[in-house]
Amino acid sequence: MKTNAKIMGRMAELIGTDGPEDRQSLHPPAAWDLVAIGVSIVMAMRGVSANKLRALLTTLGIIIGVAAVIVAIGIGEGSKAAVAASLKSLGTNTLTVLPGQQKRGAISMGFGSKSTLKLEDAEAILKKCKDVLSVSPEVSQAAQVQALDKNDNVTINGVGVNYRTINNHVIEHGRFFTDQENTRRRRVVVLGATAASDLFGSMEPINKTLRIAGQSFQVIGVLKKKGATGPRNPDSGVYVPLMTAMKRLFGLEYVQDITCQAKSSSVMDDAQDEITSLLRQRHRLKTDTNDFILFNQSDLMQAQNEQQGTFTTLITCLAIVSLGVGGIGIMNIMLVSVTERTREIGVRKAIGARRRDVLAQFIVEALFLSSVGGILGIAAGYLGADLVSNVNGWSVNIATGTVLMAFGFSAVVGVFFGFYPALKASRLRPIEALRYE
Amino acid sequence: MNEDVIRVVGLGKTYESGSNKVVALQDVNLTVRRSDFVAIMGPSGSGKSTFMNVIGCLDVPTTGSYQLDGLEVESLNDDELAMLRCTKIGFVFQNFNLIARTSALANVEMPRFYNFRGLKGRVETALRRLDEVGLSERIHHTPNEMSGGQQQRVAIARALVNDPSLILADEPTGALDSRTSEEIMAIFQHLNDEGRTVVIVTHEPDVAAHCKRIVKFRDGRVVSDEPVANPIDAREVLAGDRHYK
Repeated sequence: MKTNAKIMGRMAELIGTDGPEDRQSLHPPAAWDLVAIGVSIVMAMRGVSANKLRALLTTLGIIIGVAAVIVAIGIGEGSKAAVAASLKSLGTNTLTVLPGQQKRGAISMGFGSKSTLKLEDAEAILKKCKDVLSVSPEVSQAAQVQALDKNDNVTINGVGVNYRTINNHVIEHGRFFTDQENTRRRRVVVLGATAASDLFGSMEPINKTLRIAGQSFQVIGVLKKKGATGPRNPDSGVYVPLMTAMKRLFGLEYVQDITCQAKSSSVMDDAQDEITSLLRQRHRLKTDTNDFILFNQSDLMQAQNEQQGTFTTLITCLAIVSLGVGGIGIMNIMLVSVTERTREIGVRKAIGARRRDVLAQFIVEALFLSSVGGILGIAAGYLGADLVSNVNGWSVNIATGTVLMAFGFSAVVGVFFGFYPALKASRLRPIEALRYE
Repeated sequence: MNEDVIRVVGLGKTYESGSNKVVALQDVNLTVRRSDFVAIMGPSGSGKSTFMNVIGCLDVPTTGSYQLDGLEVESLNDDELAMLRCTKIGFVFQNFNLIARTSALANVEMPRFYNFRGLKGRVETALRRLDEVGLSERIHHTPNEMSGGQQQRVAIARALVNDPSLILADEPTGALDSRTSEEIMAIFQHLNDEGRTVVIVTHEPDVAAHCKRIVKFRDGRVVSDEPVANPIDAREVLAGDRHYK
């Protein structure tokens, strides 16, 4: 059949009196390849402006997807970083010794209710445990504080001189108290940033006098704001020397906790063992039960960090779902218009567009919509992240990788669903495309 | 310039769908000379649409040879066929097939973008063609803002913009009322008077009666090929039809 057709064709050529017109006349010059790309760009832009609603909906899908991913992952990363920062400021190598629980029959009075820790225990820990760098015994009780016209019931912390370094506190104004001030039970006080502004407002508190439980104390320092890291907010703390607190204010023989700083975070377990055996020996314990509790703060933070990880995973899942929804939105819009597009491709091919002209037009269109949507999505993502951090006070970290990933994914979705139906349509013969229902 | 715009020898077209073989055209021989005005008629399934697709280079024949303006079509690749359609054929469709939400001017201008010889002066030419079909007032209107007759005139202007050797119209009046059909036929007759070759596929005898020659198809073959003794002059009909106005 085929060869027959060929022979017939040749015969027809022989019959023809005029030779066939030059086939070469149908070939555009090489420079046309470049011009054709320009033509495709013009056609794509005309296509976009002729289908504004479709263009808007497509970009909207991408905008939502990109913005959602940026905000969600930004929140996740931000809170992760916040936890890491607070872990660092808390000191990863601190151990807290608390007295054991007091029990009356079956009723537990809670941690720290026993009076078993003595000042000498703290001194012994510092002296005998080789992996412990410094210690800060502490007491705290509520007392009435008067300053200017304020009169508040505030928790007073009696702390050792090493308290500041162990807890990574930074002095904002003035200074922290000295060992001498502690042993001489001087009435000096250091305020947390919030406590200072609560008591003195905008006034400079250094060298001002305030009354704690009726006794006058001189303010010698203000700590830099640190932010809450646990149940206690160090910024609203009122700190006095330990001995002053024990002897002058509260009349205590026992300390309420001892914060110990290990030499490094890698010897935490050793320090813990040393403190345990020392205290057991000092307290002459015979049963397995300890009359104190050793509390490792990095363990707590570890647990908090793991919880944070779950939160980040959850929020990332949400982001992926919203990207998917955006993608499906784009797909729907493109599939709905596929009939019209197919017919348009049929018309264009019938009136002389080559397949590559049609494909280039639709690639340019899809790329244009995706990148416009992607750029607007990034802008919306940054705005959204700003809003979240301003309204909720969450820290939001936007990594460049996240932005690129979100942009890349949306671009792929946009180009795929924008271009794939066009690719299929361009493969049809023009008459099939024209009759497409 | 070749005197024969269309020269078809022993043309056959068979469609295969699964095990079914449908013979749409067999052994068709036809020559259309320059400046001819041919109506191709026949009932549905007679093969006239297939024939139009083949001579419009939208479909390839199974057997036989087809020369368009002296060029052997069978040997051409897809890109060459696209350029052939672009420069040598002006299509007019039954349902107009304009690009939606795009102005009349942009629609008419479009084929010039695909013609590497036609990029220059495309707007001027498009405006001139729109003026020729009487739409110079509506160049910025989109298809949905125009009547069927106006849309078809835009489509004719588009078909003319690359100055083709052949105007190929598939049921151009099929979607129009009789008055508008007469107006469209007047345009085709005017174009033919200017020396353009026009081939119209139609099943309406009234439309065919405007042409110079009628070719009838039945069961994939040409069954008659006769000149029209006294073609109807659409312009006279329109001038005489006072009650339409």
